[in-house]
Amino acid sequence: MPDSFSFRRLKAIIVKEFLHILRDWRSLAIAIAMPIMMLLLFGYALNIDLKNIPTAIIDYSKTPESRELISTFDGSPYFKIRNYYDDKQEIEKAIQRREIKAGIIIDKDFAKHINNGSPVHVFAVIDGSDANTGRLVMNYIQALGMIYNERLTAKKLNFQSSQINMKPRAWYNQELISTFNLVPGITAIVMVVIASMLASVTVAKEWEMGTMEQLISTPVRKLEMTLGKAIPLYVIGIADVMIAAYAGMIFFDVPLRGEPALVVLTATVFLTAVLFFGLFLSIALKKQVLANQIAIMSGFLPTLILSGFVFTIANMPLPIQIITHLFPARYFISILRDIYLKGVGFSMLFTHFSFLTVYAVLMIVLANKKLKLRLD
Amino acid sequence: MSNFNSAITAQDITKSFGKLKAVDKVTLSIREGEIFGLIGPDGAGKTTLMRMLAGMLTPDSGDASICGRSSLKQHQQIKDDMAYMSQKFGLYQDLTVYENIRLYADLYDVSKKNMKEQINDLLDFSYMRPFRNRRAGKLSGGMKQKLQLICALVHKPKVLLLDEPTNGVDPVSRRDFWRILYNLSAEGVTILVSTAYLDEAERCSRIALMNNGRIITTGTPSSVIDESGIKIASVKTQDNQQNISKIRNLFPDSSIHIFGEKIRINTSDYQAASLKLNENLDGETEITQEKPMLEDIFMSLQSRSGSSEKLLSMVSEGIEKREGSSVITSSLTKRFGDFTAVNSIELDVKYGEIFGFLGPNGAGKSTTIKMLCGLLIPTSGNGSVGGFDISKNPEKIKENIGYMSQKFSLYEDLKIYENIDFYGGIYGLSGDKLKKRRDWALELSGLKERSREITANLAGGWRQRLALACSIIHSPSIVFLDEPTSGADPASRRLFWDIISSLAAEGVTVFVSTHYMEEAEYCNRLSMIFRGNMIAHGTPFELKEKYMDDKIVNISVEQPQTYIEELSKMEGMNDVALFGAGLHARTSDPDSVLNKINKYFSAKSVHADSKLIQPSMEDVFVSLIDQAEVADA
Repeated sequence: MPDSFSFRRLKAIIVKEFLHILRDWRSLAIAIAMPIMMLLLFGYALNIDLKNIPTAIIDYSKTPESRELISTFDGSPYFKIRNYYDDKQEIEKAIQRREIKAGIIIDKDFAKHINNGSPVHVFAVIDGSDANTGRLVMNYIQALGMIYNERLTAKKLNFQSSQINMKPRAWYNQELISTFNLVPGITAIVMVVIASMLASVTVAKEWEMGTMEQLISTPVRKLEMTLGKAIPLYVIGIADVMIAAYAGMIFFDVPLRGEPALVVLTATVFLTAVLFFGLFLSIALKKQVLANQIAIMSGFLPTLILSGFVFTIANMPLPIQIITHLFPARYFISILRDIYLKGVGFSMLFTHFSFLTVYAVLMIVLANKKLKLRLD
Repeated sequence: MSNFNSAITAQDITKSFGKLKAVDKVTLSIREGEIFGLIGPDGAGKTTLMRMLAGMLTPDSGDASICGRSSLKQHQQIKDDMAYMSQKFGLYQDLTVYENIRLYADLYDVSKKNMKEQINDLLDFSYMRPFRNRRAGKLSGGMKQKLQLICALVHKPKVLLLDEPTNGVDPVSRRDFWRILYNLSAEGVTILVSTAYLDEAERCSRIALMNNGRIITTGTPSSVIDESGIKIASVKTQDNQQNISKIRNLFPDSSIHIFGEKIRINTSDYQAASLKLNENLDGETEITQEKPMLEDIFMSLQSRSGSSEKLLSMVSEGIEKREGSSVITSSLTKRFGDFTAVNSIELDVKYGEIFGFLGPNGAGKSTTIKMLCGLLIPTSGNGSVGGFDISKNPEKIKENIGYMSQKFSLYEDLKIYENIDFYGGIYGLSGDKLKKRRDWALELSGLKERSREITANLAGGWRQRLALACSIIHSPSIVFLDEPTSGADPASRRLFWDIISSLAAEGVTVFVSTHYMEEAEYCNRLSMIFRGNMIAHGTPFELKEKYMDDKIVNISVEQPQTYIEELSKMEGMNDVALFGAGLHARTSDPDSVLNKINKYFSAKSVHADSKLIQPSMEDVFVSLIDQAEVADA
């Protein structure tokens, strides 16, 4: 049967592609080092947890009550009191000098109002020039205010302060450490980068170099060609998943609570989807630079922005939320987070997993449909 | 199968690209075991035809067959019987010789049992065994082509389709390549080969001449020449440069060119032509009738548009006439790391001279030219061009010379006139002056009517003419042309050399490199360069006389390849090689060897015509390379 699939030819293509990758050691080095680089970059640069916020205090009250409020701040790991001022203008200047990010101003009548039960105002000044940090600082100050309020009420009613003790606890990520979300996100990004960096050029390169004309004069079949090109890249991709997982453990103590096999299985489906998407672009566009640019625009950027890795999908406007469903990274990251942090099993992930599978099959079909082993 | 003896057939096969009819109702039948040559100018449709025969391109109408199977309906099945070798190097540069072969063996599912031995046999057969583990990208041009041929042969195809397999390859490798083809043909493999080298075409058992998508004539090389009715009048005069214009006026419709020391005129009536020449030429002239070559037939295909005399008279418009030396170098050397690309080159070229740089790809021609143009700084030694030092004043040199690089230097996405304007702008032309030169450049490149077309549409020969016009748009008196004729068809090449001659006649130094040995005859003086060394220099005549101690015996015989091995063993024989349709035997003892050759053929009762001849430039080159290689070893 001349039209049959041949494992020997598939193997021949795989070997050749592996040789290309091994001989182009720069690309290989980038592909291997990328997960660690990204983990470190995102881990330290994108760290959303704030500790030791530099803070200044103006205490006009100077009473035991006001000192207690101050000690609430000073005692928390989130604030570090740098200075005590006497004048509001000094706070403004300190913020301008970037010495502090927050200033707390306690009124002269603070203790008096507390003791006679009338409303109390404490002013907080925040450096809003960095909106994200500003918002976090504001949340922390409000939270501490509530804790102080609670203590105060308890004292007034003569409760033991430990009687009602609110202990907020964020599930699955007890300290709400954002680095825990990193590994799933970075795994997705690295795979998309491999797809756009390596897969999107591999067929186009053969057209540009003239090797395609010689190759299609042989009995090679479409599926042998696309699979043969995808498999070596798949191996690199899976290696990167493992590197990301280990690096996450070593650098940021990110635990893998679920089954490692589930991670590999999900990554396999996701990789298949993005690699064949890259191959599809390469086949359709036949130009390396163009295919690469489009792969970055349509693969890498949306994955970075719309996958829920950096920006929370739930906070996006509805139309954008709908668009995020078009990108498989969304499902992949959500599955990986569940496996990593919740340790859930396959049955819980079925819906998202099905989405990924459909996407992957669609890409395999598209790439093979588009590939023509002819010159016209 | 009704036509089983025809290994390759085509019936009314047609293919159009947009308005262009690339292949127009071609019918062809090639017998088993034939070496069939496909020749024709650039854009004639040779590649398109081959791709359709190979089942890689779908014809608009008609069909073709390989070993009785349809190229259209059974394009997957014919792949087992056939191998196709594309014009561009189609193998992987980052894979080794063996890895490339192994890839193709697997793709063709070659039986694993004897695969290793078979690959080794192929490597031995092509003298490639020592390079088994070398990366393909590091092979010379000739070895790359041999490797591609090995990959095509690994599944023992019955039919080979080779698209210009020897383009740009040095003469030694070309001879070797043809030795392999002859051996394959003797084993019954059918070979269809397209080529721009007409001496190769003369080796084919039959040829087809293609033009504008049609096959014009088919037959053995000699029958094609005979049936053309073309006669060649060859004139030797005191001053060929001066007389050629006169002759062009005498025969306005004929193709006329200078070749070596003679002017050759394409005519249908030799008697009338020689009479006319005798009447009109002054001084001592020597008129002889020459046997037409395939190239002459080729030339007659293309009627030159407009009068070439007018074209050639305007070439040197605006060029300032200068005298003395234009290019001088001493011990010019360029090293890249450990590799010496150019080793101690000494030159002294005068204004008005055509100076040729002859050598295979990778010999160091381009590197030398780049140093002379101020594009590369020499490692040691010095030189001056137009009076400016090449190391100290490269910017001054660039303003005063014209340079046409080997690669196509025009912007494909610009229109033709936009390219001209761009180069004019770079050289500081503007306003009326630019307009005047633009018209001139369009005229010179023959593209006046097409000036608003996109440059990407131009076929090979036209592109090169346009690139030349752009490179001399500022009327420089020194011009460097790096392989201007590479890949162009014989007719474009000849026109190119006519343009070069006209430039030189007006006092321009034309420094030109080429790997076509016969083009050396167009040069006033030349250097042969091999592995960075100048191995010979002088006039074409001097090169043939001075550098060859051996003599050449030309043997015209049917199936010359079958005698090479036995003839080589003769005493006093230094080398036997294919040349044109026959053999060239190199010997230091011509009389006794000639005698032995005659005896050898009469003992076999084979008709052969052997005589002592002046060596061709290729003979000189090959023998010098042999000497250089012995010295290296």
